[in-house]
Amino acid sequence: MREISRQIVIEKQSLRQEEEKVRQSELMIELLESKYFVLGMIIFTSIVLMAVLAPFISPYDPIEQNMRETLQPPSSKHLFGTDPFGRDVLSRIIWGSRISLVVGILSVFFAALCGVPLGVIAGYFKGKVDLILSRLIDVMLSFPGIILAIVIMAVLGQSLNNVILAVSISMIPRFARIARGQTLAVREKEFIQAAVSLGASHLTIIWNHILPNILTPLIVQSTLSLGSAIIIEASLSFLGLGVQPPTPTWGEMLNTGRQYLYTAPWIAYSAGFFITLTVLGFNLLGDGLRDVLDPKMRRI
Amino acid sequence: MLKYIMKRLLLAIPTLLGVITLLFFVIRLAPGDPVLYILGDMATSERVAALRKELGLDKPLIVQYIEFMSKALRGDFGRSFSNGMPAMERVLKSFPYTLQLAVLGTLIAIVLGLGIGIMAAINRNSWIDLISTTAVILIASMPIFWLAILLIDSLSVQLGIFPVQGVGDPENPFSVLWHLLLPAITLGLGMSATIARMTRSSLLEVLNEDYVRTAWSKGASKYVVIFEHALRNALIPVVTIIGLNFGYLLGGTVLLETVFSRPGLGTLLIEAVYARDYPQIQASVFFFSLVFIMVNIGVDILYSFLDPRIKLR
Amino acid sequence: MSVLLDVHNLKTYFYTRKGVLHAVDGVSFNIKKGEVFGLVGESGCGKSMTALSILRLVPFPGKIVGGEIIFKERDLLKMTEEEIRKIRGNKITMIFQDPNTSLNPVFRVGYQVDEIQMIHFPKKALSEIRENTIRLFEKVGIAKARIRRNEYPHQFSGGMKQRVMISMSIANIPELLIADEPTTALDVTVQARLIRLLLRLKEEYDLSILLITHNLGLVAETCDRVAVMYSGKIIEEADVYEIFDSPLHPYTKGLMNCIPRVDKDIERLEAIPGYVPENYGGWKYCIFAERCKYCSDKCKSSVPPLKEVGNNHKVRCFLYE
Repeated sequence: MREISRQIVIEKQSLRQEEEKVRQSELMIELLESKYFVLGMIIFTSIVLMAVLAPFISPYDPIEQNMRETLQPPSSKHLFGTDPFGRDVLSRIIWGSRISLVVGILSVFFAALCGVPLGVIAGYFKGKVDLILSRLIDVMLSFPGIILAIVIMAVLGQSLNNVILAVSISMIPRFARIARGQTLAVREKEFIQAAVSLGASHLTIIWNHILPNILTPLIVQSTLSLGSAIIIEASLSFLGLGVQPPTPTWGEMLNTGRQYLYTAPWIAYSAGFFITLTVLGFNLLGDGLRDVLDPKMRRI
Repeated sequence: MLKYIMKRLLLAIPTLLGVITLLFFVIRLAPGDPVLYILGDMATSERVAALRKELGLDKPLIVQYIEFMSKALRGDFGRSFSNGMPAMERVLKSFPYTLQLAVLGTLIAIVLGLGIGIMAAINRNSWIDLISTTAVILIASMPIFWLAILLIDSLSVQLGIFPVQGVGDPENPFSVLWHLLLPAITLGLGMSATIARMTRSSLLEVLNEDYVRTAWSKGASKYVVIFEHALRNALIPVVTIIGLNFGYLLGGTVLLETVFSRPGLGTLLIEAVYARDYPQIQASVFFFSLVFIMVNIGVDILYSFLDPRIKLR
Repeated sequence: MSVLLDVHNLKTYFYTRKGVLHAVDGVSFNIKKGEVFGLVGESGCGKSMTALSILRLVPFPGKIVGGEIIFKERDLLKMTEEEIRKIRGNKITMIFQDPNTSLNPVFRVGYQVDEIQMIHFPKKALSEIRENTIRLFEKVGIAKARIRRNEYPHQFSGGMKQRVMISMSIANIPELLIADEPTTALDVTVQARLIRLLLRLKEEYDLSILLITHNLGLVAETCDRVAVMYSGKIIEEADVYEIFDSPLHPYTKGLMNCIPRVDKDIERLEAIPGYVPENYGGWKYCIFAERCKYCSDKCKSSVPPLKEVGNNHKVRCFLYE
């Protein structure tokens, strides 16, 4: 009897895998048709290229000061002008993309790494475990994200690692909450009960059945969170609580730019433009993905 | 209803205790000795010991924790390192400026967001829809302080309409309002983006529901169907979003107070951070959390008024 | 009996990514005063869309692209938005399939029935309207009407909600009531009671009813005349006794064979092989041909017209040329 049911399960699995492959290629095509996704991809790729190729495409050393050429407007020599220390703004923008992208991507990665298991365990086991974990998430949620990040930076001191840590921690609750909600929903479905009745262990069920089914909203959330992470990092830098100068960051450039807004607007405008562009790219990606992956959340 | 409020307030207590605990331990994670920081490297060991005793830092950790907790629950976070005033007192003095900004900003955001969202939904796929959707997604991608800089540059610097910073003369309500407008507009604009998007998609979804079809079949006019039948239902998820984004609002307030040099709670916090003024940091963050928790309870209650299916348990 | 509603060559198309769906593809029938007219067919045959087209409630991306619907000497399809609004909920009303989603969850049920009266009789006193609603509730069998009118839809059962819908639909004493699968979503026992209620109301108010259903048993119990739809077109139409006694179209015969009968001795229930195709681009030939055991070459090359073969019996099939 066990043999038969096991055979059926195996057959069903291979059928499902084939269906999955077909569905995935259909999805790819749909993704490429989505204007949002394509545009987002273009922006994303450009920014990533800019960050990766920074040493090659940056016209000047971003931290090299030149006190004879401070606050120069854009010219053929300095395409985006110079800042109060005579540093080339374009070079700082190019190198600044590295900080933004690194912080963004790593923070989201770590936030998901911690938040998703937290939420899944809370949603899967329910009961006391859920109660405790939910309280924990609630405590973290009771600080607005930026304030939590500010406090962490205040306490730990300024460094790139601490920025990543601060931004990650401030984003863990949102991943935990989505993971928990999705797990609660999937848990009640019949195939979970079927797996349990076949004697599958908790780990197997979570890994094989729950995780794949909650993937979609988590992927969408990750892409959208990339934008948030970059904004949080920029906010920290703007407040002077981010990565230490002279490392160029877009947020710090905006802060400087604000002080020289009347005399040298190019500083603020270039930094502001690039932050917005990068976040826009991620938002478009996320929207495009959401439209395609989750028909219920479609942009009507 | 009263029972529900009591219950939520009760449930909020463990969360608050958690927040206070977190504040207690997080501060102790800071590298360096706060006593040495206050007194400087040149302090004599007697003075160091004396201050340490005064601050209670010589007692065992658990005792410190209990003392901290009991004081905190009474609102006593000690004195600010910067100017010696009771930390919570400084918090309460700065809070009105933050409250003004948050309230007006939220009002503007709701009016703007709902208006744009409804317009976009009714005129779906028209050029109104396209322009508003583009504008919304653009604004949502901007950091709030960048939006502030843009508005300052265009409205204050170039056109000279609004004052760039400060809160005006506290005695003169017009002056106060005048200084409040640009920050509030910035905040409102930034928040309206999410509200507009949610309103649009929620309304479009609701317009496809069966009960809207029933409303049409009754012979109701377009106005009645959209604004009475559809909107009432569409607003429910929008209220949730506003509640969820309250954190963004508070964060935005902090940043905007810096940009516009407003002496509110956010500026107090940032200055305390620069000065390593731990009591002040703790008091400010605690207050932020308190407000946040209260607002969340308020949103849940508001929610229950909108949706009769929700039973407050 | 005089003709109340005359539908002539109604065409409602849906413009989708997959193509133009001819949901209602040249449908003609009429409903006489005081009769119950049944529109029968499987899911997707276009019967619901026909009903929605009468009140011009066709959802996006659908559009009524042709035909006439004559009601009291006026073509409903040519009326302005203002004019058709005066008809909706007043002279022609509709009840829908799923009572659980057809009522607005945030308004009290009493208010929702008040509203249909307020819309068409704005000068009437509110107190009078509210009393009328209570009377209507009692008439459709809602107990403790005075108290229950202040409750919300989620506090009612499915059958009760449908009663509210029924009371809403007769509130302004319409001439035509369109019932789109009114009992499909409900328990069988509740179904029977609601149908009896509908028939009683029909007698009392001298209503005409357009009954949309896929339940042949229901048709047998309630209808005077029946039309059978398939893939956007009417393929048979006759008096109810006639169609049950001698179904002509192979599809109709197949439908009859699907249900157990008390009056005949049947060994096994036959299912019709295949499924109802979606009508993209209109019929190029008899679209039932693939599933029909009498199919011939002619069936695969041209579209059979709807022909009267005597006794008020019409059929669309080359077998009866």
